[in-house]
Parts: sequence; C-alpha cells; structure tokens
Amino acid sequence: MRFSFFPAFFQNPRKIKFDKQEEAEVIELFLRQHPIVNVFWVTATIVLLIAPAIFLQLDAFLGFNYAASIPLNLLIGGLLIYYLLIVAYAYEQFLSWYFNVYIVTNMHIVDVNFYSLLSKEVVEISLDDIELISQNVDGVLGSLFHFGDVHIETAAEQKRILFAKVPRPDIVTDRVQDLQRARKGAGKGGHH
Amino acid sequence: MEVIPVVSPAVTVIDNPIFLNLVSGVFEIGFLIFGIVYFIFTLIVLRQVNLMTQTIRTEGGGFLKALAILYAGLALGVIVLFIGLF
Repeated sequence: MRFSFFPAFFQNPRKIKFDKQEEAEVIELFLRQHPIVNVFWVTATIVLLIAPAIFLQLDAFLGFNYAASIPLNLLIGGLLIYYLLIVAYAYEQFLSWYFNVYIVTNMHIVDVNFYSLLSKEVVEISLDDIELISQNVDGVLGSLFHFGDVHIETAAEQKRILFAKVPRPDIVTDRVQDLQRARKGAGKGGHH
Repeated sequence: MEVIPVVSPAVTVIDNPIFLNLVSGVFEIGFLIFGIVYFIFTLIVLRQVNLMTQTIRTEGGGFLKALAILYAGLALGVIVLFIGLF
C-alpha cells in the first residue's frame, strides 16, 4: 500500500465506501482538495508551536526575564492552554480537509461538506442530471501543482456543484464525461 | 524628624498575599473552566469523527476514531493537571 500524508486523489478505490452507496454503485473517483491547500495551517501551526520557546530564549538572552517573574504554575497553565488551542486549531483544520470529499461513482456525483464541527451536508446528484461540466486552473500554485476547480451544472434542484481545488481537474472532467456517455449509451441500449 | 519610607502603591498591592491569593484563585478557576470547556469540545469532535467515519468509510477511519478518543483522554488529563497545579 502506498502511504501518503495527505492523500487526495483516488481512482477506483475498492476499500472506500460511503453512506448512501447503492449495491451496484462503484466509486470511480474519490477526491479531496489538493494537499497544498494545507500548507498555510501547517506552517502556522509549526510557527505557533515554536513561538513560546523562541520567546523564552529571547526573554532570557535579552535579560528582560519577564517569564521568570510569572509564578511557575501560572506559566505552565498558560502554556498548556496555548498549546491546547493550537492542537484544536490544527486538528479542526485537518478534519475539515479530510472529510470534505468529492465522489464520482458510475451513477452519481456526491459532494460531502463538513462545514464545522457541528454541521455536515451531503449532496448527491445523478450523472443523468449533469448539463455542463467545466474546469479551470487558476494561479501559480494551481499551475505548478496541477490542481483546480471543476464546475458542474445540473438540472437537479441543486443547480451547481463545485469540486474546489481538486488535483488533476482535467482527468476528473474527462472521467465524468466518459461515465455520462457510458450511462447514456447503456440507457439507449436498454430501449432496444 | 521621622523619615517615612516611600513605597510605590503598585508594589504594595502586588506583594499583598491576599491579592496574590485572589489572582491565583481567579486563574485556577479560569484554567479549570477552560479545561472543562475544552473537554466538551473534544467530545463534540469525537462525536463528529464518528458521524463522518460512518458517512465515509475509509481505511484511515479507525485511526481517526482512536485519535479522537485519545484527544478526549488528553483533555481529561489536562483537567486533572490543572487541579494539581494549584
């Protein structure tokens, strides 16, 4: 098994299932936002983690000794709260990235949104309802790391679905169009 | 003539043991409340991770659940630590 810290692009994953998956439904693509979108919070977390150590060193080096004037139990308690808040921030960011997924199956397109710790939304649309699919790659990072947005317009109640910042948007678009064609072909074949 | 020592009122207040006890008490209660709220937050995370791993079943689901349980355990440990700190 290939290990990746932030896996974001799966083709035909056999070990992944989702809640409303039908018996004959097969996952063709399983996507998350490109791992590069995590760079900001990972960097912020690392900087915040080492900041107190740098502050304490500077405090002693420059002779201010502010830290020494704080009672030890208050200092430990304060640092503990500080680190717990950082852990909460990083964990929440990771979960938000990990559970915001886009699934393309041989029957549907599924968009799972994990907005916050208290709300989630699952939008499922039949491939038959897709009217238009387009993709765009924006900015230096998008071009460099090959990720972008896939816009799907549908005839269903939910008019638009956006696969935001997914890796290889061209492959995603092609695959959805192929699946749609195959489905229409099978539908026509079924009438004869 | 009697010389009256000049003492800064700020120093007097900060050195006052009653004031120090009061400040320490406020921090103790504050830390404890933070610990309890944080523990509740980790329980919400645990519930949400359970819900999401049921919605999307991946290979990493078990690991994430274990991590969420550990996280709640850590928060509980922090409450105990806060009680022990003061």
